[in-house]
Amino acid sequence: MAEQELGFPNEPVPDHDSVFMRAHKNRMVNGLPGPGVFTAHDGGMSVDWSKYAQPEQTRARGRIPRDNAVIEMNVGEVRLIPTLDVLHTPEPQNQAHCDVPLPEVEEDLTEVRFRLKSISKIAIPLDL
Amino acid sequence: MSSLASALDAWRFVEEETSWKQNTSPPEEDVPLEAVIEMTRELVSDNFENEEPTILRSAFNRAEKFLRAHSRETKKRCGYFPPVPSITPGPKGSADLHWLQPAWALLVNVPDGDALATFYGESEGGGRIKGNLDPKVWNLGIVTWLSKN
Repeated sequence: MAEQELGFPNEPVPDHDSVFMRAHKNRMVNGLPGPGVFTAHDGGMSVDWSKYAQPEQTRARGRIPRDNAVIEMNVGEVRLIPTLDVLHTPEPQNQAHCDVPLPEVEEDLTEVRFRLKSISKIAIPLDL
Repeated sequence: MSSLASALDAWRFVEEETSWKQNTSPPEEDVPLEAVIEMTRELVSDNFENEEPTILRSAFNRAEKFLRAHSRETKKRCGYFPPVPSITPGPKGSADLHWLQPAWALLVNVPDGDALATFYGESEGGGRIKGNLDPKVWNLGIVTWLSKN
């Protein structure tokens, strides 16, 4: 009961794990994620940690799941991009939730989105 | 003598006609670019929301002008049109123009309103390009990048 009231504890996310993220069909190009997939909501990019989530669960959290693919990124590769980190920020309904804070300077944000695209892989393709 | 004069007159007429046609023919169109612009119109809207991302109309219009200006300038300088990018919704209703070529890649983000566009690119051999620009005018650095083989 007390644990439920306090929520899930924050844990360190190891480099060898992965994170999953939805990619809306409007931001996909020929079945691959476009750079627009990598955008912030309230300062950070929301992703799910593979320790607590399967790609199917990440997809199911979308408003219209079938409109989304799911992409996967290795945590260590995300951290190799300057200024980026993967922080465990569990939510009451989603223990897997993590934030990747993105830069506020627009030129840096464009570079980071370009580089995130290059390290992402498809975990679940779009429905045809 | 008179037949020679007639022949010369006829030749001048043909030459003038040809010259007139050359001067008034419409400029060559970048057909693949126009096709991508048309295809992208279905992603354009007047409101932006994250769950159903679209490109805001004003951002799209700015991106469209930017692309045509750089296509024209590359053709003028190099004799060929540049490759065509994908156009997809970026953050906050902006337009992402993304070129992904075997030897180089470039991302130009054109936002809504009057804000500057930003760009980042990488090429084989470690070349990098990064900065911002006014999307209303063509940019020599971008034209040079687009004309890379």
